[in-house]
Amino acid sequence: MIPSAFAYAAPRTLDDALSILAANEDDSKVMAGGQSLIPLLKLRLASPALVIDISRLDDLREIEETSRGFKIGALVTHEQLISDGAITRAWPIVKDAGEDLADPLVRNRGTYGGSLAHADPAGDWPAVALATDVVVHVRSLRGAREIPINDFFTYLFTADIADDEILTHVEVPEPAPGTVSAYVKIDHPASGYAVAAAAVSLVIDPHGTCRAARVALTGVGTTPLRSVGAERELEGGVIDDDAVRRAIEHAADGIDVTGDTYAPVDYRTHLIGVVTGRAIRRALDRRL
Amino acid sequence: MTSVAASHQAASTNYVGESVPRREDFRFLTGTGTFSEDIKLAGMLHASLVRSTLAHADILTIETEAARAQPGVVAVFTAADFGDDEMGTIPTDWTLPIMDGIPDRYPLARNAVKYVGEPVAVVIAETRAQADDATHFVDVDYVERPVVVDTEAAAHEGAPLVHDRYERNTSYLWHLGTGDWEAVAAAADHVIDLRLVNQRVHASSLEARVSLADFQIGTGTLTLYLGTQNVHVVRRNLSIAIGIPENRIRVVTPAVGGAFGSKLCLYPEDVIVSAVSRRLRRPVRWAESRAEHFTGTSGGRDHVEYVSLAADKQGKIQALKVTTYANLGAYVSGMGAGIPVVSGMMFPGVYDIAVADVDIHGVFTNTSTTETYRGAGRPEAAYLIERAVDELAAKTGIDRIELRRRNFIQPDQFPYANATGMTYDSGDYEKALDKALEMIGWDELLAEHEAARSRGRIVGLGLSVYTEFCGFGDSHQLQLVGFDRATWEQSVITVTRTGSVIVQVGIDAAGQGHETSIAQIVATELGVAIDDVEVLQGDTDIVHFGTGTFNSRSMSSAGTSAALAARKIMAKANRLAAHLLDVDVKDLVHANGVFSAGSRQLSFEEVAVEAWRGVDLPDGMEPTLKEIAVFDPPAFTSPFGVHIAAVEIDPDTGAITIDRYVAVDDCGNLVNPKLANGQIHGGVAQGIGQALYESLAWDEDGQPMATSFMQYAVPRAHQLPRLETGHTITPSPVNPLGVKGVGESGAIGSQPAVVNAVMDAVRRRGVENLDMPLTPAKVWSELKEAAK
Repeated sequence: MIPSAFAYAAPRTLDDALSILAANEDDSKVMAGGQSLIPLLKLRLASPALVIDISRLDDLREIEETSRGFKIGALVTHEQLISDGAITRAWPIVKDAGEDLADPLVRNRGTYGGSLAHADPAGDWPAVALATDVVVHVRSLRGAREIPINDFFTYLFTADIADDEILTHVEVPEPAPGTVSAYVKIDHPASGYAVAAAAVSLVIDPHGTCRAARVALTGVGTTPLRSVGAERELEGGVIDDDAVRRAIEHAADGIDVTGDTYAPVDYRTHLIGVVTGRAIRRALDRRL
Repeated sequence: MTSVAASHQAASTNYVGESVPRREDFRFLTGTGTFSEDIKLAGMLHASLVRSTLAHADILTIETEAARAQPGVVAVFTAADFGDDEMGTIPTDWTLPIMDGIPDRYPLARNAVKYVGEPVAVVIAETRAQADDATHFVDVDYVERPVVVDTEAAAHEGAPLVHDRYERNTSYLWHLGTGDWEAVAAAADHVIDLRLVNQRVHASSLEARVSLADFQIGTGTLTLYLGTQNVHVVRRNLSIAIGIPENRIRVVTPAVGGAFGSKLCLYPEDVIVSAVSRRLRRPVRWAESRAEHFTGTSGGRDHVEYVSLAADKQGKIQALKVTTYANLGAYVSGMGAGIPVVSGMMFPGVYDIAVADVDIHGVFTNTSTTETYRGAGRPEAAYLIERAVDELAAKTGIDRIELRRRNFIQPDQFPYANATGMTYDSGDYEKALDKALEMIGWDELLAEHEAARSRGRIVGLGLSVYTEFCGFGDSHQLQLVGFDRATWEQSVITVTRTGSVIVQVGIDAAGQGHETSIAQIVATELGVAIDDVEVLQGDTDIVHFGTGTFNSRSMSSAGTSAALAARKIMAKANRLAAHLLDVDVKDLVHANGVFSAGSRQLSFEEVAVEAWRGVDLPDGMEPTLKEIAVFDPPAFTSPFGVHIAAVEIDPDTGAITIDRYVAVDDCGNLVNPKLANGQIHGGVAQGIGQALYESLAWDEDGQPMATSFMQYAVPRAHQLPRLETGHTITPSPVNPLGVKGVGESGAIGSQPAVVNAVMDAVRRRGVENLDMPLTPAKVWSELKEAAK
């Protein structure tokens, strides 16, 4: 449980960090809170030659309210996020997921941005990010780039971030009027990670019609992903019991569901429906 | 001679039965305890092991040159570097007389590996990190051999052989029982059959194993620091393995962060660091990683059992038949071979069953070894008989409480010899059952459940009534089955000139609180303040002899020997006090530390001073108050109890919630109710862990599927119910304290109670059997299957 030897850099400015990264892009890892990377290093599942610790980049530590929503710096911790009244009022789903995420020790050090960059296929924030339709901002010496969350997760533990890029912040939009959201997770008894979880965000107009539905799943495939089937059943109509039933029924449509000894494919496929239904109902319960 | 001081000592010194706060807590809760890994010796080197990545293979070559060239590396050793006199095979503590010996288990594999994780080479470096790094440069060339993991498959004719020296993987077939099962079953009104799997589980102590060896060339002595449940057995077996006589080995166990039976035997790493320290003449430490702990440290249970019961119309159980396939792992570890057999001796449980026919197959597989784990054989037995009795109730339609009552061994039948060769010292099962039923409100809950079911909820109520054996007693009987540990325990008590009391006991705590409970016993016997009593354990240079902590024996054996040593002290102190007060011993009164004859008094301390001075003693009395007592229990004790669980199953997910949990345990007289309750809580947590969450498994290639707490699910606080505990007290007649033992009870009563509750919930939906762990996926798919 001791990592193999690695070099360590702790730059104080983003420019320094980007320069160091550019010079070592083949064999380095960027570390924010370290709550995912350090266990990987200790298990020797990752053995980079250089770890670039960005935790001293104080400019990335803030949550800012902007005209369009919220700008979440790369070093904002889970605890910071779920303690932020403005964002949790706008997006109760953030509180749902954050309070159920790991334990207080991890929540005090681990970061929201780091979770997205880590792209764990069973991570909580990736599903919430998909449901809240965030935009990820990355930067390198070559310049800045923004990636809609829909295009961000590409494979197991792989996001659309180049080897010389650092995630600087994430933009969470202000929810449209009538938005309700919720997150429901069934966790693994050992790891606490999602066996299946659903993040749901629904825009309901004053007549009760669902104008937009985003249903994101985690723990079920090679990446966190959207449930096209569930969204199709919800959008454009009133969400009554029958609509929820149809959303549950079609939640796993087209998804290549992961199976393992704890949750075989048929069981996990079934759970996708269960968490989708529960998250929809939990979100609807939040209608004013 | 009279004392004023004595009158100040009138406070009660009757500590036995009081919930005295655990004196160990301060250091454990403030991080000031010393654990094995806290010990750092000058010049200490670090060992890291290269382990087999294959479950079964011949070793062709081991290339170590590249590793030797790594930074900080001092040496790399393989089995070829040591002769049998320097690093011999590891002895066991229990080889059954019918076994054809045991397979050689060298600390570093010679020629072949038999399970994933078996040590193959050891890298010694100046730092732990350097040693770990260099292990990746050791190259082992293997030729793979066929692997067998499944216990039943391994027992079959034609299965791949784990050991070439045997013609089959079955190390022994032990028969237990009396009477003619076939005849009784043929004539019985009811026969039920069940196949049960009692899966492999792992103690998963907070502290993994650590072993630090320090060989001193000047004196030719070896000191080994490690977390163990028995320093004396380690000393003996290490002496045999490395050829240093026992009187030149010192074994020290400082604070231990949990053991639960997994730290009872001598392990390969203990021998390796000892042999290497002797070779290099420097201290050598190995500290286990969590992954090594899961793959190398012995787990427990792992039985496949076929059980049948035959009963008459009224549900009276007439006969029991069991065939057990017990997984020994790749070698025989410590007490591993004996556990399945003593498990068999408990199969009849709390029931008066005249006929039993039990076959126990001890089987080798390409997995790590099995050993004692909290309960060691009794959880398997309780699970087997309690599942079977519920099955019989379901089959006959007789209420499961009534069925149990009809079959209980009655209080006037004790001592009771069961049909599989075990004698129970005492019991009163009705009393514990009535109390548990009342605590949970059984009838009201049944009615609530009926109502809940009518609304479509899946709820269940289950119980277990268990008895077990503790205190490893009757050395004659145990030696007949090849048990090669002592059964006695010794205590030495020394009273210093200032009246402070030192107690040396041969047990080794791993969190149980012996320093408190033994002090309670001794302070009560001597009539002194508990703060004046210090309890020493866990160092062979301080305590020369002992048998260790296992089988919940610490109170019944060490507690008793400490009480007996204290009584010897008091006999001498009384004689001396009478002499000093110039009265006859029979006219002397001793209460709460004060000796008095009429108005004249002496404090315990004043008597201690005179004993130490030795100038005014009765004729023939030697100076000092120092006594030894050895207690060899004449028989096992038999704790018993009743556990009841109420569960609800989420029909959508199959997830189980335990809504209520009641445990009524009878462990005889209680020395410290708070500590006893703590033992029940911990045991129940581990039992629920086995019932619902835990499984140490290998895939068909023998690759371990759980190597960290990311896969292996030990229950966290939020995954456990609130425990409602109670006790009945039926003193043991086999020791003067009347104690039975409590360390394992919780782990014995809990699994059957929980699984019976779940079965109660799902049986009426057509599910006939479930094996632990009752994962949501398993419950969901069985419910779905049954609904078809």
